[in-house]
Amino acid sequence: MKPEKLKDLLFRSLSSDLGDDDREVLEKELLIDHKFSEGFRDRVMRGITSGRMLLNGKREMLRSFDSIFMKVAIPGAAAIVVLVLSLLFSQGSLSYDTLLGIDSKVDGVLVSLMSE
Amino acid sequence: MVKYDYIHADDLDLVKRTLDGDNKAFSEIIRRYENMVARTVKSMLGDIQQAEDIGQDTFIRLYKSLKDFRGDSKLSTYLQRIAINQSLNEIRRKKRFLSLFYQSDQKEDMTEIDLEADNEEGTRDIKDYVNMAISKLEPDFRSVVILRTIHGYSTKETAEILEVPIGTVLSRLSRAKEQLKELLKDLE
Repeated sequence: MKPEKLKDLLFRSLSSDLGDDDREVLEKELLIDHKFSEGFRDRVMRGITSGRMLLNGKREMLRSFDSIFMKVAIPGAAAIVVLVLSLLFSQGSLSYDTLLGIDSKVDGVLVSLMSE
Repeated sequence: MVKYDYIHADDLDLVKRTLDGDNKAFSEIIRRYENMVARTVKSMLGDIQQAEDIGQDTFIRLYKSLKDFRGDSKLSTYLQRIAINQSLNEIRRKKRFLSLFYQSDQKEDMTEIDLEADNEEGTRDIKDYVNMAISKLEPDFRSVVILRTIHGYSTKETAEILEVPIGTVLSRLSRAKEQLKELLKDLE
């Protein structure tokens, strides 16, 4: 069947109930028959009978933690860096020269290293 | 002693037996609806590992909530509702996670499907394009298209599964149709 006709069938399926023949064509030509992997049923049953439900609960909890953690961790880490830098600057332990690597001590070390 | 016929038992009977502690009855429920749930979650999320996890979560959630199932609607309807909600939650969770790294005003990629680029692989057929187009729809539109087109539910059943008014389903279908037309406009 031509793509144009298949497209028409797809759009018709959205606005009206298809007849059996059209439905068959739609399923055969346009829809992927998704399936779970082998052993899906056994995995679910194993989960239910071996306490996986608890693990599943934990997984949901971990998911929400994951989301909250990312929201808190990134701004938190940035705030800590800014706080540490501002403390170091305010106490004079750090200067722009040091940050740029042009501290006098560094110069001295470099000079002695180069003169050796 | 006559063995219980799980294969031919009706859904409500299986639910009752599950609640009485018969795990074989729940295993039969999974066997009956495994493919239906796979179609829903994989169409919603794509054929990825998380879809398997969401499939498992769907059945586990059903198991946990069986005591609340009164049989007012069909078990399949109840299960579809869980599958859709689990999938939508997963999409929202992913979106929240991604929004931390990308600007929130960046819209989802609703551009038309690049047929030329995809053709280079030489493996895509019309099935792939249509399913790709469905996967590019906004999640609320995607869910109505999946229920209507992939599962063949009526508008009323779709509204019942999604727990929204029929008018909402009709309006979502109409907007989904416009989006699909745009996405598939080059497919001839």
